[in-house]
Amino acid sequence: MKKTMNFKDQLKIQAWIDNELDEKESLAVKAMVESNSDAKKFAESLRKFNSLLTKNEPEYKFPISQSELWANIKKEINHPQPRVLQFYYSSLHWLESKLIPVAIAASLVIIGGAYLALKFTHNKSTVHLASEESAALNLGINVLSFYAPKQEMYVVWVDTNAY
Amino acid sequence: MKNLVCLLIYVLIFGLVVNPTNASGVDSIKVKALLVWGTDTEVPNAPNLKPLPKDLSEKLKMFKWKYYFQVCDPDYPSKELLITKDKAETITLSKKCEIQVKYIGDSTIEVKLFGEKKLVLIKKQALQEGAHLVLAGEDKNDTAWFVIIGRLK
Repeated sequence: MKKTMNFKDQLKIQAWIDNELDEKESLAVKAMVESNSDAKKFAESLRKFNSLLTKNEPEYKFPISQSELWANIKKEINHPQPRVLQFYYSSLHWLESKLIPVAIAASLVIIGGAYLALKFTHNKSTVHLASEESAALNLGINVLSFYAPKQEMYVVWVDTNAY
Repeated sequence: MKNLVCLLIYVLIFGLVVNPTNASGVDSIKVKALLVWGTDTEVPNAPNLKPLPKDLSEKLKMFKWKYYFQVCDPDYPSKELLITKDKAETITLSKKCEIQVKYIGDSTIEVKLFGEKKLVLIKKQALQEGAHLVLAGEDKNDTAWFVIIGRLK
């Protein structure tokens, strides 16, 4: 069956299953899942995947809702605190008089310090953690992957029953 | 100020020249691959299954199965492999399962998973020492298979 779902839709479905969407978006995603067979199978696959793990997965929750967060950011942009502005202008004036030597010295210290710290600490901090994968999609395989930091395991779950 | 700048430049150059560890310059890595079976049956009736090392068993506890066994086929014993850069090594884990591992540099391996001689998955992964790449899937009777590739020190 030809896939009509794109990557954005998949992310929305993931968020929907994790109860991270507001009511309006949740209803929209639910409607999409019910009307699109690919989306439905993807959602089922995710739910099944969730059931594979025990309850040891730590839960991280943001202290405030997304809408509240963005409202706070907008408020700061439109009406910054006066004391912040005062500090900003006085710092700018100081930097203008000492900009070149301070910038050079600070850059060298930071770059040199970071470089030496990385070289002499454990290998873990120098490893590039990005990964790529591809699946033999002509076999109708769905692949879900994640990193378990406590176990130091990169897991790729191959779901051959998705399609 | 001038002396300080000169000192910092010297420290930077010193750090570049004296380079005790350089992960990106490693030309080979050592890996070990295991085929593991996850089940809820305490004592499965199969002579080719043996318990996992405790550390690995603990790591797999994040999955729902109660017991994990290493699949040991005497025709395909597990072994450590030193893989040189840009060279692919084939590791046969069982009659039906084979992987091809290639070290592409910068601590990154490319793994091709074959099931019954068919390519199932290609996965590239940066793997630090002591970490594992796990390729897994469900098997019949609510069990699961795991191909665990560990990078050795």
